[in-house]
This record gives sequence, structure tokens and C-alpha cells, in this order.
Amino acid sequence: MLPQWPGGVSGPEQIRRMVEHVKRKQVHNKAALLADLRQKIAAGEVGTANPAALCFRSPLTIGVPAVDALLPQGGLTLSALHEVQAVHDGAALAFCAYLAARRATTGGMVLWGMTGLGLYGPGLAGFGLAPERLLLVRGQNEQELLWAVEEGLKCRSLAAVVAEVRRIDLKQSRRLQLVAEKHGVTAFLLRPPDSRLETSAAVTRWRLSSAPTANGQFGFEIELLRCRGGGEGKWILEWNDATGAFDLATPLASRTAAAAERAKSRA
Amino acid sequence: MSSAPEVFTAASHGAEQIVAIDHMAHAMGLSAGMRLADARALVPELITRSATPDHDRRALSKLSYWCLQFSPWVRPETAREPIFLPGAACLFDYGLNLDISGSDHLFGGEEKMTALIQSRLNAFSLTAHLAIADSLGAAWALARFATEPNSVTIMPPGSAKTTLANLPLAALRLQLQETEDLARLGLRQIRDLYKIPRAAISQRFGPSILRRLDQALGFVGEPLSPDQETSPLWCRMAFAEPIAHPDDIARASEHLCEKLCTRLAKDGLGVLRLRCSLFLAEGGVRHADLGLARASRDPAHIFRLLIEHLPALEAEFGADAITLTAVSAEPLKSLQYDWALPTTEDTSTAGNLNDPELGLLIDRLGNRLGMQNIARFAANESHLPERAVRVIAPLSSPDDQNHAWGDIDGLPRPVKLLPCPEMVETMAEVPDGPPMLFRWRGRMHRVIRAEGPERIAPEWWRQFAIKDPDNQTRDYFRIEVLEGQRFWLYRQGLYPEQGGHSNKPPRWYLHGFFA
Repeated sequence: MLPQWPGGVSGPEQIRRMVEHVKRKQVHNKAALLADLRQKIAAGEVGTANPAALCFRSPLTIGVPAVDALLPQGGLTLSALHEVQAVHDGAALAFCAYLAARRATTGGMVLWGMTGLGLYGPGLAGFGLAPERLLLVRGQNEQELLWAVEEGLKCRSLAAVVAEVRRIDLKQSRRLQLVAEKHGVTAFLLRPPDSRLETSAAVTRWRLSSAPTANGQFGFEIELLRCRGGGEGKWILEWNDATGAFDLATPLASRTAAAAERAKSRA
Repeated sequence: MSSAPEVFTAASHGAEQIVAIDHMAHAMGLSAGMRLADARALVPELITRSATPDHDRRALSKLSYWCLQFSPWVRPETAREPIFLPGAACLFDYGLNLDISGSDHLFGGEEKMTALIQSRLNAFSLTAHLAIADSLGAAWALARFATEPNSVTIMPPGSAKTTLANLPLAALRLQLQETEDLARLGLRQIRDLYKIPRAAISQRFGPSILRRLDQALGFVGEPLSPDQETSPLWCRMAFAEPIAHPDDIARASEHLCEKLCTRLAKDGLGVLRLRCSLFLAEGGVRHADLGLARASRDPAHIFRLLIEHLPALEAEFGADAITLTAVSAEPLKSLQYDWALPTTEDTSTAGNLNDPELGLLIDRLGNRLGMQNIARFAANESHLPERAVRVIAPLSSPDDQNHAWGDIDGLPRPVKLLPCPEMVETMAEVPDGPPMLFRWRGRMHRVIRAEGPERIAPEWWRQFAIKDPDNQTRDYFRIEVLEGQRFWLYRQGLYPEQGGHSNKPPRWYLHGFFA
């Protein structure tokens, strides 16, 4: 039985209560309730500034169905921290620029934190990120940079924050994840090739490297190392300049997909 | 109020001497300078205390800080030796000199200002003689040779000669010896000096008497060098009743920030160091000093910095006045952005980014990291890759918004550019072949794919190109290596086969990385 809420579901307070209720799993028909909430949010009846409604925003898709299928809700969670490790500098930069640009299509600037300037505007434009949308923030050291990133995550006018950090420990990454969750600004941690990698609280972890060009298009090797509530996989993608998106070249390995295949064949 | 007269005494020449007396003692005929024994004879029930000149000097110093709310040019003055002033209540001369040239209008005129100061000092149980004059010397004289206690003398401007005429010569701040010498000649009042030819005085007594006379009459300047670091750029706000609530203090400070910035704007200055002073109702002063990395005259920015220091200024019983002084200011220059890219002079904040939350974020980041470390990209009119982009202040609006990005004949540009191109050793076909092998930072890379060349000639309108244009020509190649990475390499300089005239062999550089 769906609980009856007087006057239907509306108003931030009632949304919050409903979310609490759903989380406590006391509702039988959770799917119907969630669908109702999603519809209300999409219709604009509930502002996305409401923290309770943040978790119901549609996720950020990569644009490649094979990759998106392994992500929970079919895409990257918006109010979360995602980590991109670079085997090759350029590939990871491009991937982050692409994701940030997709996140910022609805408006808002992207804060890019760094300790030294390496970004090149015209090149980023090729991946969909208009350079004038970038707010460049340069810190003298990693600590300053992490502080700036946290401040940026608290500013709702931003769409996303990308930070080139070499060292970040579990405590710091968890802190950023919590701030991202609370305010809804998507956070991307870009780890340069020479960074020290430790466990992190990032919701998804990717490893990017450049792959040989095929069909005249830049090749990328993308590996999804870890995903909370999703699978893992490795793909070769090609950047399609004309469409401004990635195309799938060859799926190298997908453990959960293969396991699903095997389970299906056994049944 | 005590029932018996009180005096302060100090040892002098083997006997106790009275150095300060109160009203009651004065009424009974005692005066400073008397021997204690004589005074006791006159008034048996006299209460005596030891004089504490050090304590008094410290108190005077504190009072001089308190006077900063009336003018930033304050200097306490104490004489080392007791000055014997007739009828004075105290042998030690405790005075404060204030230059109120620029501040009397803030109080509604000289009369109102002196009335205010007098009432405040009386509230501290202090008896004060106030005098306003054209020169420091004249004011000094009028204050010390006033006839009644708690008097206020305001000299009409320009009338120094007549006002000072009847005062004794000691009013000129002369040495005791000089006063006695002049007395022996029958010169006792200042008017007597007017008639004597100047040459005669200086011949007989030296230049000091004349100097003091000229200072008093205003013919010779005597600038007041204040105790505190000060500046003419200051704003003051006083309250009818003392305020103690932090919110009220914050609102008043915000108002002062705006006033100060308006003044700075008029002079084209930005503040570098700021002092906010809170004048407490019980007579103390609390200061908060702020420094800015870059000169600024943005009131919101300054207030945001100030608000963090205000809680430290506690006013238990309330504050009477707040002042904000720009201790150090400089002409407001544009910020120096050193991002290894060309910069722009434009630092106007007439932004197209009107979002206040974003503006606040930029300010907070800028305060901690430095304003020159927050920037945005803007397109630049240049086909040299390192000059095709420039860095601008985050809130400024570049004039050429329509300049297309990355649209250089449709040729791709790298996502990452090295601030300084690094030399690489290559093996390439001469004259215009792409590299087949190259070594960068010690690692060898085998090239499996190359596209180019894209020739980028130096900008002929730049001076350095004129010297050796062939040596500056660059041929860019997009290189892909075996591991998959893509680089942007260029050869600088032309071979003789290509028509190059330089005798230096061309060299290869790595400039950027593609995706």
C-alpha cells in the first residue's frame, strides 16, 4: 500500500520525508514511488537545489551504450566524486574535458584546479569544452588545491570541478565525496601519470590511455576499474570528431558481462 | 571624592616636593613645586601619594591612541624635566598634540570638536586645557598658559601675534636658562620680543629663541610626526551610544569600507595595508591590521577580509567610534598573471558572469591563493600556438568574444601544451620528413604515424623575427608512437634545401600532447 500523503507529493519538506521513508525500505512498491518522484523532478515541480532531490537527477552518460550499461542508473552519478587515472596525460585530459563539457551543457562553469598550467584551450574545444567556460584555479601545492576544490564543490553555480591532483588520501577523497553529495556539483579527480595511487572514496575509477589511431580517429583505451553498484570493463573507444562523441571499437574484456553470458548459457 | 586634598610627591634635592595637586588643594592655596613640609604646615590633613611618572607616561600613551579617533596625527608630549608653569596643577607636563587640519569638519567645526573632546576627557576624570591655533607652538602656549582649568581656547586664524602677545616668555618653550637671561634684560612677555631686532637676539642668545618665536607665530613650519604609522586616507564613524553587538560593528565596518574605497577611487589608489581601530567607551583602542596581496579598492573584497578579524576586537562595554585607515596604498596596477601565456591589461570587473555566488567563490579562492592564480582563457589574435590563448581576470569580459577556438584551418590542436617547448633528439629524413624515432626525457619513442607538416611562420611584425626569420619558422607534426601516445613536435629552422639561409642547423622540439 502506498502511503497517502496529504495533498500529494510536493514541497521540499515532504520530498525529504518521502525520501527518508523510501530509504528505510518500508515501502512495498518502491519502484512506482521513485518513478513518481522522478517524474515530478523532471517536470520541474521540485527544484534540484533541494538536497534530497539531488540523488534523483538523471545520471551523466558516457555516450557509449556498452560502457553506460555497466554504470548504476546507466551513467555517472552527478553528485559524486569520480576518479580518472592517466596512463597517458593527453587521453585523460580529453576524457575529463569531455565529461565536464557534457555535465555543463545545462549551464554553469567548470572549475579546473591545477598546480601548473598545461591545459591548452583550443585543444579542449575539440572535445566539446568551450574554454571560456573554464575557471582556472592554480594552487601552490596540493593542499591549497584540495581546499580550492572543496570550496568549488560548495558553489552551486558550478557544473563540475576537475582537479589535477598527484596525492590524495582516503580521508581527503571521502571528504570531497561527501561535499559533492551534499551540493550536487560533480567532481572529477584527474590523476597524472606520476601520481601516487591509493584507495579512494571515488564512486567510479577509470584508467585512460591513448590507443593507436584507427579510421583516422584518435583511439582511447578506457578501463573502468571500480564502480560502486556497477561492473568493471575495458574498452577501446574512438573519438568521432564529426559527432563529438565516442564510438566503441572493440570490447577487450568485461568480467561481469562475460559472467552474465556464462550464467545465461548455463541456465 | 575624598574629603581631604590629595597631592603627589616626589623626592627632589633631598626633600619631598609636591608635583601634582587636586582642586581642593589648589583651592587651599597649595601649588605644584612647593616643598611637602611647607604644604603640610598649611594643610595638616593633606593626603600624599608617590608620583609615578612612568605610569603616567604609559597612560598618556594610551590616551594618545584614544585620540586617534579625532585625527590620525597624534603625538604625546612629555617634558623630561619638570616645567615650572605658574599656577600649574602639575609639575610634569602631559600634553597631546593633534593635527586637526583635515578632520575638524568631520565633527562639525572646531568648537564642537573641542567640546566633544573636553566632555570625553572629563568623563575620564581628567582635567584638560585645550587650545586650537594655527601653529603647534601657539597651541602649546595657549593650552599651558590658560587661566582657568578645563578651558578651551580657540585662536582666530591668523591672529597669532596678538593672541600670544600677553603670554610670558616661558610659553615659547624656551629653556629655563634662556627665560632667566631674557628676564634679566627686562623681557618678560612675548610682546617684548616683537620690538627687538632679530639680529640682536640671535647674536646675543643664539638661534634657538628666534626659532621658537617663529614656530609659535607660524613663520617656520613644525610638522607633527605622529607616533603611529598613519595616512591621510582614513574614515571614521562615531556612534551616539556605544555599540557592542558584533553585528552592529560589522555593519559599521562595511559602511566604512565603502567610504574608504570611494576615497581611494578618487585618487586612483588601491589599499595594501589596512588598519581598523575600535575606540572603546572606557578609553582603550583595539586594532586589527590587514594586508592584501594585491592593491584593491573593492569594498566587498576588503570587507570580506575584515569580517574575519572583527571578532578579535572585543568591546565588552561598547565602542564609541570605529576608524578605517589605509596605512599603505599604491596606484592600482593591473594584476600580473604569469601563466606562461600572454596576458591582458584588462582587469575590469564589468563581468558577464553576474552570478553572485560565483563572484564570492572567486573572491574566496583569490584571497587565499592569490588573485593572480584565478583566471580564465580568452582567445588571442595570433597563430603562434603559445600565443593563441591568453589568460584574463576571471570576471572581466574580453572584447572579442566571437573569436573562434581551435578553428585553425580545421587542424587539430593538442589538449596539453608545454609552457616551454622541450628539445628532443630525433632521427628524421632531411629536409622535410617527419621524425621516425625520437628521444624525450631519456625515453626513446618509435613513431608509427605522422601527419604534417603544418608550417607556422614567425609573426613578422614582432621584432625578434626580423633578425633570423628562417630560424624561427616551425614545421609542426602530429606524431603517434608505438605505445599509443600522440605528440606535437616541430622542427625549428629551415634546411638549406628548403631555402633556409641560417647557418644554424634546425632543431626539434616537443610542444604538446594530443588526446
